Amino acid sequence: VPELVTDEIRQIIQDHGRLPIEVGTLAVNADLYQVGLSSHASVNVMLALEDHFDIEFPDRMLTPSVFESIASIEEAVATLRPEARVS
Amino acid sequence: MPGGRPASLQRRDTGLVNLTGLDPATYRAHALHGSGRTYGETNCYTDVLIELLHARGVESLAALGCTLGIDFEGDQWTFFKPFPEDLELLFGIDIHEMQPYRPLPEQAAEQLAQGRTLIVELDSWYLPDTTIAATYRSEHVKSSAAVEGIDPAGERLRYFHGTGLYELSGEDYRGVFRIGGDFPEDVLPPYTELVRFDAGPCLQGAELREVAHVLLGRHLSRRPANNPFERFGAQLERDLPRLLAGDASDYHAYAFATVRMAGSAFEVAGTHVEWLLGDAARPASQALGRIAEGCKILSFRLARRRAFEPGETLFTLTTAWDEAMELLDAAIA
Repeated sequence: VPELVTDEIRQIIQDHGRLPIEVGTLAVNADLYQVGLSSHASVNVMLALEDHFDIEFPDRMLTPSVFESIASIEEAVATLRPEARVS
Repeated sequence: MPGGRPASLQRRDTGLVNLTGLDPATYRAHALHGSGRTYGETNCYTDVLIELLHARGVESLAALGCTLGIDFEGDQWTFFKPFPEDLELLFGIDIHEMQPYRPLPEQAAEQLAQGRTLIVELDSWYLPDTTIAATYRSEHVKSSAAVEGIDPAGERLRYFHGTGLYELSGEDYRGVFRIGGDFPEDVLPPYTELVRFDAGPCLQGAELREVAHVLLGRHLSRRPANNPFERFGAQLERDLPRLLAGDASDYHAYAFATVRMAGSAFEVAGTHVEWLLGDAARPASQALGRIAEGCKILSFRLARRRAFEPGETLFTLTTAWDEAMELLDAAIA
């Protein structure tokens, strides 16, 4: 996953995740729910990701595990937008 | 017990009178509030009881068979709470309304000093743990909390709320109890319940499971007479045009009253029956898990506020409910 996409995901989580921490320093595998991502905020993160990357998560991806870390979101975005794999 | 302190009255030099002596900084929440759940929260009242029981060193899951009896009630799913009679039978806990006719901090300190506590509706405007939910200092929302400790002179409150144990002080303390300042008088006193722990034996181990098993049968027998997801589905189809035309706050309110309530209840129900019945309940638990996942999918799809066809997900929910109930009836027969 290109660094640019990772940075964009971090920014979306920062803007919509309502986390009590700086997302910029968060490890890509850190559990977002453990650091405070609520159900309410995860919905807003999902909407912002769809808007920003012009994608639509299929039902099979509308699960908490897809939004549990920066890495899992990166994987989902890369699956739905293959060009994101090309830097 | 989380944190390792005995579940008895603690009085510290700091002036804090408390129930368990647990420290918010080191408190470990119940696994129902851990990661890996489809729904990390249930509703404010049940979440508080889950943590209060957990902090007392007993298994909260024993009191959650009530989740199997919830119904779709026309515009919302049942706001489920552990039944008072279950809490009394399982843990000797008696919860009843208290008269808040004196300053609440004084009443709380007195009850804590007698080994009891209060569950009180507080204004989350003053609850700093709601920073994440963005209601702290931005929205007046009533939310249940249980008092774990209070220091009236030092203006400190420790409280179970949502998925954990927290502390507030100073201006938040004065705000939450409406002390000093310029508070309008046209506000009713908060609904307050007294929680006593001396109403009978507090069961553990095999005895606890034995009583919980009897209660599971009762909750299954009082489930809706027909499939509530069929009725919910029909109502959702009628509600969709209004929801799609509404704004984000309409969606969040609807989602909380419907899919979040049902999804979290049936996910907890699955964990309850696995705790109680072990592997025999695995197929039923899996069916209940499909309800939680289906509700979550609907949450996300509704949030987009774009037209969609909910039929397939509603079919999954309806068939999973039928399957779960049939399997549980067989499991306890």
